[in-house]
Amino acid sequence: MSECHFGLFGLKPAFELDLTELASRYRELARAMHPDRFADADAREQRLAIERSANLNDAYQVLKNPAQRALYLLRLEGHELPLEATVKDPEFLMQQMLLREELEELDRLDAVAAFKQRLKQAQAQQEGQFAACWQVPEQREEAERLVRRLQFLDKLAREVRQLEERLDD
Amino acid sequence: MAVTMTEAAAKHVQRSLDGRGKGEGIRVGVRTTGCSGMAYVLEFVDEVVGEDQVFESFGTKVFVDAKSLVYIDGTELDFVKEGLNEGFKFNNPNVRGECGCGESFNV
Amino acid sequence: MALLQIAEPGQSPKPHERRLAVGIDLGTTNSLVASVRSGVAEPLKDAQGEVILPSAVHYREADVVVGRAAKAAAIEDPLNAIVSVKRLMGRGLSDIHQLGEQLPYAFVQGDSQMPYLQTRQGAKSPVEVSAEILKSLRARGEAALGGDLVGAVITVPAYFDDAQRQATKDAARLAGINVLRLLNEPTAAAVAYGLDKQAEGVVAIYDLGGGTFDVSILRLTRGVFEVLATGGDSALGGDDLDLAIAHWVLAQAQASTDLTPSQQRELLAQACAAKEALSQVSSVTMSYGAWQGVLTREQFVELIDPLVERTLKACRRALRDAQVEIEEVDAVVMVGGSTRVPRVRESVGRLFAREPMTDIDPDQVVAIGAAIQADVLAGNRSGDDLLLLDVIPLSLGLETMGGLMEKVINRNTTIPSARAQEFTTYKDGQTAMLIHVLQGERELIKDCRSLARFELRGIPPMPAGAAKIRVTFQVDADGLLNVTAQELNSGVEASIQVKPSYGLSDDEIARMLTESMQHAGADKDARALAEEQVEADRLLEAVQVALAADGLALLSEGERRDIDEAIAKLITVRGASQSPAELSAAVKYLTEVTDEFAARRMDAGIRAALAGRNLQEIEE
Repeated sequence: MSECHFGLFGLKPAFELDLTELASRYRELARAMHPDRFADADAREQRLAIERSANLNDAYQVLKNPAQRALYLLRLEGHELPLEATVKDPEFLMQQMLLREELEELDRLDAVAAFKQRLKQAQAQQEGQFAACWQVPEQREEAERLVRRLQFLDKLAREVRQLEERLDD
Repeated sequence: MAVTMTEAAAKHVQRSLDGRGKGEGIRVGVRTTGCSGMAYVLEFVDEVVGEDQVFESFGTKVFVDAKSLVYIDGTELDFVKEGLNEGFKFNNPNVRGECGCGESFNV
Repeated sequence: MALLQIAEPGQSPKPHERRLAVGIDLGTTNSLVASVRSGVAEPLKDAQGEVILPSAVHYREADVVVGRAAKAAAIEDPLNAIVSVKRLMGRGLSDIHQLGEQLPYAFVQGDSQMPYLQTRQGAKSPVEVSAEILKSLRARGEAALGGDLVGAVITVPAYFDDAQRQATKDAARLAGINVLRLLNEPTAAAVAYGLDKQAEGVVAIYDLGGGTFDVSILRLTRGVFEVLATGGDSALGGDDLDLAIAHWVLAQAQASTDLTPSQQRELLAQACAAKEALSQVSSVTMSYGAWQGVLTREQFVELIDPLVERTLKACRRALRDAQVEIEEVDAVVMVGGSTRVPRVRESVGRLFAREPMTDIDPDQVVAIGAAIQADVLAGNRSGDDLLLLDVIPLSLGLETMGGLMEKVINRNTTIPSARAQEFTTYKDGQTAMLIHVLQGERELIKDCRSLARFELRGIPPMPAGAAKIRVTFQVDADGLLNVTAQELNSGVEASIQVKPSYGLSDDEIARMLTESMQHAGADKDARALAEEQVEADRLLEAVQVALAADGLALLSEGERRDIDEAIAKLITVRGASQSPAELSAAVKYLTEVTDEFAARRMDAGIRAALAGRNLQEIEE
C-alpha cells in the first residue's frame, strides 16, 4: 500500500484537521481491516490483515499528533528533515532553556498543572504559525523551524507526564 | 394447522429474547439440505414479514413461513437436557426418517 | 436429533456446519468456560451444576485430577497438588524465588530457563499444568455444546508480557485447543458490561484477580471498544491479601516463618477464609498452633492498605497515559473475586469519586465477555456491532551499546502495530546478527524484562557497514511479537531463530505434544507426509475459490497463466510424490505465486466493506 496516510483516511493533505471526524473514520477503517474480521481466514490473509491494521494504526497516530502531522506534511512535499540539524533558531533556544529549567524546579502536582497549561498554549501558538506558512514555498525554512519547535514541545509534554508519575510516588 | 411449544421451550425462548435485549419472537421452519432431505431452521425474528403465519404459546410468538408450514404442521417445540448438553428439540409427527448424524430428516 | 439453539436471523447453520466456540477465563484461583447459546452468553456448568473450576491440578499415583478435589488435596499433598500455576507462566527460576514463600513447590531447572515443578509423575512445566486445566474446560465445553469446538477465546491479564502470553498459547496447544484470540481480561469485562448496558463513554475496569491486578481505561463508541491505556501489576493479587493476613498471624503467634509446605497451605487457606468472612462480619477468630486471636476489620484494613494503594497508583498512571481526567470517567467496573472486599470497593470509589459497578457477577464477567467475542470470531454473529481495539501494555525495545534499552514500540500503542529499524554490519563478510528484545519502561536493560534473543542468519556477505538490514517488529492482535528481517540491497530475507528467555523451546513443545498423543507410536515420516498433504489440499481449494470469485477481475492474463501453472504443478506432485519435502516446496511455490493476488483480494474486500458501510449510513 503506497497510499499516503491522508489518502488512507480519504482526506486531502492538510494541517488543520477535525479530530472528531478523524476518529470516526479511524473506527470505520479499523472495522474493515482488523484481524478479528479475518479470524476464520487462512494464515496468509490473517498476516495481511495484521499488516494493514498496523499501517492504519501508525497512520492514525501520525495524523492525530500535530507535531508528527506537521513533520509528515513536509515529508510529503519532499522535504526530509535531517535528524541532527544544527538549530538555527536562537529565539526559541532561549524559550527552550527557560522551559526546561522551569520543569526541573517543579515539585508539586498543582504547579505541574499550571505548567501544562502554558505548554498547551505554546503548542497552539506554534501550530497556528505552521498552518499559515507550510504551503508557501518561500517560507519552507520557517516551516522546518516550526516543526522542530513542535517536536521539542511534544517531547517536553512527555517529560511532564513522567514527572507527574515520579511525584505520585 | 398449528405449531406449538412446551412451557419449558417458551420459557427458554423468552429468556433468550430478554437476554438478547430485542426480538419479536422466533422463526421456525425447514429448508432443504444435501444430507438427507431437510433441516430445521430456528432463528430470532427482529422484523415481522407479512406473509408469515403467527402462533402463540405461553405468551411467546412463533413465526412460520407458508412453505415450511406444510412440513411442520402439528410440530411441538420442546426444550430438553441431555447430560451437560441442553437445547431445543422438534417433535414433528410428519418425520419419516433421520440421517445417521441426527442433523437432518425427511418427511 | 441433535439439540438446536436459536440462531441470529438468517444465520441458521447448515447441518455439520455448526461452529461451536467458547470463551475461557483461565484464572489464577478459579477458571470458567462460557458460550453463547440461543443469543445468551452464559457460563457452562459441570456435572455437579457448578460453573467455577478451581485452578488446581493434582498429580496422583496413576492419574491427574483437576478442580475441587485437587484443591482439597493441596493441604495434605502440597508438592503434587499445584494451585496458582498462572503465577509461574512465562517466569524464570529467579522470579520464582521471589514468590517462593507463597509457593511451596520443588522446582527444577528446565531446558530454556522455564522452571519445572517436581511431582510424583515427573518434572512438569507450568505450561503442562495449565494444559490440564484447559483440557478439563474443553471437555466440559464439548459436552455442553454437543460437539467439537472450532476454537476458544482465552483471556489473559492485560499486563501479561509476551512470554506469559506465549506460555498461555502453548498450554492451549497442548490441550488441543485452537486459540481464536488471546483477549485481555479487562477488555473482556468491558465487552460484557458494555453490551449489557449499551454503554457509551469512558469506562475504567478495575480487575483484581487471585494473582494479578489490571486496570484498563476504555472508550466505548457504538460497539467499538477502544482501550486508551492499561496498567497493573502481574504479581499482585488477592493471594497477596491472604499472605498479609498469614504474616500477621505468624507475628501474633510469635511463630517461626519457616513453615513446611503443608503448614503454608493450611495457613493460607485459613487466611483466605478470614478475608472472605470479613466482607460480611467485623471480626474473625484465627488460630495457629497454641495461639488464638481475633482479627478485626480495622486491623485487616491496616494490613491491606499498602497493597490497595499500589493498585490505586496503577490506576492514576493509567489515567495519565490515557490522557483522561478522573471527572471524564463515566463508570468504573469491578472485576475479580477480591473486589468483594469492602475496603477495596471503598478505596476505588473514593479515587474515581463514584460508586463502582458491581452488578455483573465479578467472577463470571470475564468469561462471558470472552464467549461473546468467540461467537463473533467463529462466524456465528456479525462483528459489525463489536470491535475491540486493544493495546500493548509494556514498551518493547532493543538492547543497545552500554546495556541500555532503546524503545521501539511504546506501551499503550494500539495493536496490531509494526515498527521497522535499520541495522548494519560491523565486520566485513558478516552473515549473522544477534538482536536482544526486552519489555519494560526503564533505561537500563537490567531493569527490564528479557523477552528473547533473535539470531538473524543468511545476510549476504558485504563490506562492513554496507549492508542495510531492516528489522520489522510486529505485534499482532494477541499481543505477541513477530520479528522479520530483510537485507534491503539484495532483497534477501534473513532467517530468524528465536531463543525465548522465559519460554519453551520448539523441541520442548514437540516433545510434550508427542507425549500427550495416545498413538505416539505412529510413524514420523508418514505423519509428516499426511500433514503436508492436508496443507496442499487446503491451499488448492482456497486458491480455486479465490480464482472463481476474483480471478477475472484482479489478474492479468500472464499472471493467471503463472498461477494456473503452479496449481497444475502442485496437483501433479500431490498425486505422485511420497516426499514431504517435495510437496512442501510445491506448496511454497504456489503460495509465493499467489501472494500478490491475495493482497489485491484483501484490499478489494476492505474497500467493499467500507463502501457498504457508507451506503448503510446514507440510508440511515
